[in-house]
Order: sequence, then structure tokens, then C-alpha cells
Amino acid sequence: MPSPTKRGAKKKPAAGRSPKQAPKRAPKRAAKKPAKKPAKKASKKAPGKRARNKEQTKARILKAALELFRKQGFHKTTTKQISRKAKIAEGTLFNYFKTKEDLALYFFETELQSCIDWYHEDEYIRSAPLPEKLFGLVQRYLDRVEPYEEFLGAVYLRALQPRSKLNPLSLEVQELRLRQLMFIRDILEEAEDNEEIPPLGEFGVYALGLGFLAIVTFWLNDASEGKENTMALLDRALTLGSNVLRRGGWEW
Amino acid sequence: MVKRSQASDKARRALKVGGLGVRIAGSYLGYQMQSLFLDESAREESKATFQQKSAQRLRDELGELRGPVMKLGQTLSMQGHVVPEEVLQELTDLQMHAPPMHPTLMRTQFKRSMGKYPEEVFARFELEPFAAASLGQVHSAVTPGGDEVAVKIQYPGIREAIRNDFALLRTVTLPARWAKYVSDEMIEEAEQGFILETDYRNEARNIEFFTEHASELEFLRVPDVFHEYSSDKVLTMTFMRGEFLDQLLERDPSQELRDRAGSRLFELFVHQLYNLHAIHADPHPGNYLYGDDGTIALIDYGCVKYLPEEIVRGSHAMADSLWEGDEAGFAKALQMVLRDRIDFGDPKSQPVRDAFREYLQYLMPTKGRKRAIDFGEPTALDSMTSLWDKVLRTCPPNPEVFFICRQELGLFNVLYRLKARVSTTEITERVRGR
Repeated sequence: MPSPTKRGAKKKPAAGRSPKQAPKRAPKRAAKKPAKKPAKKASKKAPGKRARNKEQTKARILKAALELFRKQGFHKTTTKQISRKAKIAEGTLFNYFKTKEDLALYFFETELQSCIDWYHEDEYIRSAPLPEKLFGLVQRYLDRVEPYEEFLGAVYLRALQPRSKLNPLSLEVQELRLRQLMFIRDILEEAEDNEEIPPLGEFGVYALGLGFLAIVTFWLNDASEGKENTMALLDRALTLGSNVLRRGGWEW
Repeated sequence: MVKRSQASDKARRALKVGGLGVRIAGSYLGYQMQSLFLDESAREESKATFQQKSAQRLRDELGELRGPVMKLGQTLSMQGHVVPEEVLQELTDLQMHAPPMHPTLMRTQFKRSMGKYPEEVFARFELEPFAAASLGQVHSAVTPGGDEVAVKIQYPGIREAIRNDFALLRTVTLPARWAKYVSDEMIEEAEQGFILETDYRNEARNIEFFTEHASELEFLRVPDVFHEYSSDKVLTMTFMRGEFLDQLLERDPSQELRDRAGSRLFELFVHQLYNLHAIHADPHPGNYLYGDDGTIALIDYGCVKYLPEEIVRGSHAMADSLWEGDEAGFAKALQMVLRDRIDFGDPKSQPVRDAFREYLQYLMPTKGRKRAIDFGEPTALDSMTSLWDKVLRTCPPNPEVFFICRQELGLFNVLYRLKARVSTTEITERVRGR
């Protein structure tokens, strides 16, 4: 039941958009080359569209997979179930994701990207003081992955296996990690430019990256109601940390 | 240079908590300690030095034990001779100036509890809190129905932090001179009290109790609870207007106004004891708002003690026996109130009885005394606190008595600052319907 309505909803805006755009450009040029125009457009955008289609399929697979992970857990979910749920052939699924681990990597990638996008689009969080900014980012991340807590836990365990692609030393994870660190670096540089904190350089970036991992680990183990303790830990650690930094540290 | 070393000194002191085994994140104290790091520029130098000094004294006085001490400090605040006043002030300041939650945290906490962001729930909502309350902060807002409300939002992780602090307190041996004041039972009671305070629904019930049972006090204003905007961590109630004691005193009110406010505060207290059988047990002056029209608004109902019947009966009996000069009756009443902690057959109990009797003369009606008590006389407050100290030394009371007396001393302190003259006998007898 839900899938047809969702599909319908997806199609509608797409259908609605093209006529809206068309009249804007159409009036003048339509008279000149009415037939060629759409054809040209289509041929130009063809590779983009294919890539977009590919992304859409990947997103659809991820969505199906996540739903299954949420319902029955990461381990119990088979690629067969995922392909059935995503309404594609198992072979097609294999074209996109070789293993469930690739799917997991894709999940983290999209989450990271969504985080970065949100940060750049949300004016409030962009102009917030550093501790609030970091709190907002981490909290948003945790809110988003909350339904897939079990999945995240499973990924953490997998990551311990040396041959897993999810292992911290694997090329894929390293790449993802680098992107994350670069994002953190951007945020810290902004704070340094605003003189919110003293220049920390790479140390700060690595420390925060590690801190983030620690928070997620704490969060996974947090049995408090509504994961309130994670929220408290995150807030206090950030406030305390940034206040200490603002004073240029202390003598031990 | 000097500044730098002061700052690092402060940091080291704060971080010592870590050495104590209190996880900074998991401790209520840790939360409050952050205020030591609050923006320096916001403070005048003098204030900073004062803070420095009293924080030093605080450390000396309270030793290595700081977590639950913050909260217990309040409980102990009646014992003026154990903990210096500046330190008590410091404890209160720390309490009141816990760093506020930033809007993102506050909104997250609100949504976790209410399912929606505050701006989705209210017609107007101020992101900046206007006050720090017990365990949370208060924002002003307007409901879709147009009511001006105060929305109290709890700090995250407070319940856990209090548990941690008390767990720590139990593992530490109290300094000997503390131990005799603070019984295990009292620590237990205090923890239960604080845990209960973390459930704002309990506070909502307390407010409704006062609304229902204190309506005959025409000068008293009690807020209304908005249940549709409340949960265990969010409490929405009527926005109360008025001045705090400090603001009132700044205007240097006339003696008449002082006496009126003082008499009403006193009546409010005896009414609670004898008629409500419940005590608003947080004597912090910030919990009273004085209106232009002489009304008093009572806010913050987090800690309300409901008194067992024998305590109330005992209090009545004490008043009666003192009135009649009935020594045996007084001993019996005292025994009832103290729940048989003292054997009055024992001649050694005589000093306790004397101390109590002397202490109670300010509160209890005295035959033939029409003259109002001038609470502005420093001797009155002094003798009351030292008498209370004597009572504690000879007989650590049960929690109910402790709470009643804490409220009394808080009241006396306010009356002293108001320099109010109060006809205690007249008021008590009227309230008791004698």
C-alpha cells in the first residue's frame, strides 16, 4: 500500500516541474526551434540523467535496506530480501553494491553529505557559537541514525574484522574519514578565524574526529531514556572543552 | 601573568573533581562547575576576587567532597555556624548561575520530551531563558490561546547526575563535624527529594495542591499549570509578575509595607504548617515575587514536603502547651514531633527541651504577648540560628522537622532583611482558629 502512493508522490512533482520550467523559456525560443530544443536538452543531460537515475536506484536500495535493518537487524537481512524490497533483480543489486558492507559505506557517505549540506544551508547553525554548532551537528546526525541503532552497532562490530571493508584501515573507510575530517577542519578554521578558539591545526581536527567516534560509541551504549545522557555528555564536554580552549588551555 | 595563573588555578580546582572520580559529564556538580569557566569579561574584578576567595573557603570548608555538597549545601544552609555565609551565597550563586542551555540543546531537550519543537507548540517563544530554576531554565512564551506562560525546561541528564553524586557521597566518609549533622536517613531523604524534583509532573501536582488548599489566603498568587504543554521535563505555567526581594528592598519600602509583606510571609508559613499540612520547602528568596498590590506570588514548587499527621498534631500540641505553660505537655508534644528520638525521661534531655522552647518562642504564640516581634533586630536572627545549632548538636532531628526548620530559618532570614515587625502570636492564633 504505501509504496504506490509514495511513487505517485514522487512522480507528481517531477511532472509538475517540467511544465513550470518550460513556459519560462518557451515563449521566445519555442517559436524558433520548437522541435530541436527538447531533443538537444535531452541529449545534453543524458549522462547526467543516467547518473541521476543510478543515484536514485542506489537511494531506493538503501531505503529498502535500512527499513529491513531497522525491522530485523543487519545480520538477519539478506541481499535477496533487499532486492525484493527494492523491487530490483538480485543481479542488479549486485551491480550497485557488492556486499552489505558496501551498502553500509554508502549509508555513511550519504549521511555525511547530508550533514555537510545541512550545515551550509542552515543559517542559524552556521552562525552559532562553536559548541552549539558542533552540538547541533552531532545531535542531528544521531537523530537521523537513531532508527538504525542496531545497524550501527553491527557495523561497529564488523569494523573490528581485519578483512572487512568497514575496517578503519580499509581504503573506503579512510576516504570517508578524510572527508569527515576535512569537514571538521572547515568548521574549526571558521572558528579560528572568528577567534573563538586559538589556532589548533590538525590536532584539533583529529581530536574532534575522535571525540565524535567516542560520542557515537557512548550513544550506542546509552540506555537512558531518550538517550538523554548522550545529550548531556555531548553538551558538557563541548562547553567545557571550548571554554578551556578559549583560555588557551591550562597547566596540568 | 597573575590573571593567567588565577585562571589555571581555577581550572585545576575544577578538574580536581575528575580526580575524585566524578565524571564531569555525569555529575550535576560537573554541570555547575562549568560556570567557573564562564566568560571572564562579564565579571567585574571585585566579583572575581570575591568568588576566588569564597571558592577557596568553600574548598576548605567542604574538603574534597563537592558533588552532592552543592545540593546538600542548601539543606545545610540553615546552619549558619557550620558553613560561612559567603560560601552559602556562593553555593546559591553556582546553583542559580549554572550555564544556560543554548537554543539548540534546549530545543532538542524540549522536542525529546514533547515531540515537537517549542516554536511549533507556542504562538511565541523566547529562545533566551529569563531565569534559571531548580534543575532547569525558564523561558517566556505565549500559548496559541494567548496566555502568557513560563516554560521550565529541565537540563538533560540531571536525574542520572544526582544519582551519581549521591552514590559518591555514600562512598565518602563525611568529616566528623558534618557527620553528626547529616544522618544517613537525611541523605536518603535528600536524594529522594531531589530525584522527585526531577519529575516536573510532581511539581505540577504540588502547584495544584496549593491552588486547591491555599485559596483562602487572598494575598497569595499561585500559577496555573498548562498540562497540554507539560511533561516530566517540561512545565508550563502562568507567567507570574512581581519583584524579587532584592528589587523590593532597593526601593527602600516604607515600614508599613515591610510589616505587611513580613506578616503575610509569616502567615503563609503557619498556614502551610497548620492547615495545609505541607511545606513549600525551598526557602530561597528567589521563590517569592512581591506584587505592587501587596500580593505574594509563590513560584517553584519542586520541593514540597507533605507532613505526617503526628507532626502536625505535635505542632499544635506544642503551641497549646507553650501557651498554657504546660511543661509535661510540651515534652510530650516535642516527643511526638521528634518521633521518639529523644527519651524525655532521661535528665540529659533537659537542654534539648530548653533549646527547643527558647527557639520556638519566636514562632509559637505566647500568652499575653501582644507586641510584634521585630525581626530586623539582628539579635533575633542570631539567637535563632545559634539555638537551632544547639538543637542540632544535641539531637539531630527527623527529616520533617529538619525541613520545617529550614523553612523557618529561611523565613526568618527574609524577615530580617525586610526588617519587618510581625505579630506572630496574633497570626498564629488566627490561623489555628484559636
